[in-house]
Amino acid sequence: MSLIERLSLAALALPGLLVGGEAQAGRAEELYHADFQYAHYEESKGRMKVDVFELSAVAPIGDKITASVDLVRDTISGASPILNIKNSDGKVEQYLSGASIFEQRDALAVGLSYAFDDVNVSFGGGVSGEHDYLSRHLNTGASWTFNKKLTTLSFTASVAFDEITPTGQSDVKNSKTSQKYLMGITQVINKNSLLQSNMTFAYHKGYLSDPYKAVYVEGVGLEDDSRPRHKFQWAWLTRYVHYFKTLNKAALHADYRLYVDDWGINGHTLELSWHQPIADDWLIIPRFRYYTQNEANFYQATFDAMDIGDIHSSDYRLTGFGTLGVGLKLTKSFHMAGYIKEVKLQMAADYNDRKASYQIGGNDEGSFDDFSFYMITASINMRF
Amino acid sequence: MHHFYQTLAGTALALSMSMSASALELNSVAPDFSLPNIKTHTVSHLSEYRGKVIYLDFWASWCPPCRTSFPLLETLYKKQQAKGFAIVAINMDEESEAMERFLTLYPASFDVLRDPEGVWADTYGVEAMPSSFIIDKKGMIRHIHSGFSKADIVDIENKIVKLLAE
Amino acid sequence: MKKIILTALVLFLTACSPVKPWERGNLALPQMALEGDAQEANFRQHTFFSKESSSGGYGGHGGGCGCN
Repeated sequence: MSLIERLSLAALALPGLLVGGEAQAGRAEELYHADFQYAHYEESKGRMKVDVFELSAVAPIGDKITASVDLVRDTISGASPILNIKNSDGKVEQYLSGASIFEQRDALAVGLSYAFDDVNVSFGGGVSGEHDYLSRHLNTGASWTFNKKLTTLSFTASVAFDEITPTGQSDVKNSKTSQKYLMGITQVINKNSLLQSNMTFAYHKGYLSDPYKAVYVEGVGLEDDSRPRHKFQWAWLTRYVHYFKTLNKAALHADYRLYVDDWGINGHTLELSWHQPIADDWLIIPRFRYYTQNEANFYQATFDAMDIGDIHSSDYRLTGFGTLGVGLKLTKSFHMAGYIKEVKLQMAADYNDRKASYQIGGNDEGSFDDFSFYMITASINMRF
Repeated sequence: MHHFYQTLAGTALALSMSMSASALELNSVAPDFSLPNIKTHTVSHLSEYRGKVIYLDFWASWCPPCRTSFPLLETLYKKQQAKGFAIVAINMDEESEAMERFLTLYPASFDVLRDPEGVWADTYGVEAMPSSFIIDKKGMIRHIHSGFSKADIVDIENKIVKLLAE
Repeated sequence: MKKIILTALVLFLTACSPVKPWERGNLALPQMALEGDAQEANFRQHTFFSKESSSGGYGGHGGGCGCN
């Protein structure tokens, strides 16, 4: 099981995102929220499978304070790529771990936000653990609404401390620290359109390699995955929403994100979704996603004695590839006047195909690490 | 370089402030509106309520604090109606269908009027949703309030009771 | 370069048409919410982040009805 895969699942991409967003919604209406979601993730080729159970709750305290809590349990199983080898024909092949790994991750996050007149501040923290990995994070954020409530500036900062004690390598204890910062603006363009643009900066320091992965060096043998001890990431996401009253009140959502890091990777993400109301309080949302990235400076599918350096990796996440995805989501809302004000049911399914050949500009690396994955989610949201 | 940023900031600030509407002053005369009444299907005027203490509320179905306010206002109205208290709720929804759905969930026995074009919301200088104006028996605006929280109803009732005693 | 981006941003912001507080009904609709389902959005972003190298950008408040 790839540590990086599980590290990624464990550490929230932006700790406090859920807390911050829900907290503000709760304050506008002083309602309690209770949300439960089940999600399933599965890869092709008998690789990874994940089941996720998540429970979130938000409670207003007076008319200025909002408290939130979030609990997650992931159950992870399946095979995972360890390295690439060259077969007898000289072609690259991916080698998966044989055993079916079973792992469980539990995470808890809490948050508190306070609403001033035009400013909202929030604090939060959390912990996430598995038998070989522990992560603790703290976050803070502030948002300021002005210009007749048409413009909102947001800032968040978070820090995470991770500790890794890989299975079967009990004398090894590694750690890493991450800092992430976001600044963004949300602007009402006119009564039918909205724009949000956010920039994030992240800096990671410490052990960033994957102890469960290796590289194949022709004529020499296997070496451990070895990455730089620091990483800087920059991302710029822009989101646009537009209302189409005449198309039965549909809305178009379009997102584009540019990503650059100092390992040499540039990534582009494009997501489009069409939110279509049908019948009473039903919403159907078809969506499309395209992603492309190039390879890291120190990536090679396989190495030989001439080109192997101190820093090297064959991780399929660090190579050049593209992903095409389609999905469909359905939601139904019930609005009531009793103790429970609203119940919303949601279901979604997405299919993604990741191929080296989908990379923008082409890629002749071959299809040895191509795979596909699907996701299914089902959730119930209550407001009372 | 420094000068460039100063100019830019100044421009942004000036342009954002130039769009401000002016809310009405306290202790000024409340403008006399004429708006369609959804129950009587005739036009209602503010002057019809002269001699009563009025809670004038600009609201819409899509406004979460409005959902909080309606049941509380309905209770207050029933309690103080006989003593000369009136609520006039001016609905701002573009389409009346959204307003109808809201009123099915949160029924109101007080007067509901329609101002979908926003003519009177503009005149009253509404700056947030919801906005309320408490008007005394002589037609003067005595209190202005933006937004609504559950706890506000206590303060509103106190103010109403004081004005009813005048 | 910074000057160009900043100027464009300010011009863009001030070119937006002023929306009155009671004209925000469309923006308040559930289909217009930037993040209509925070749990699902988090799960999707985690999934993509664990299979791809890109991450970041999500977060921030604003839009909607502008109430309270």
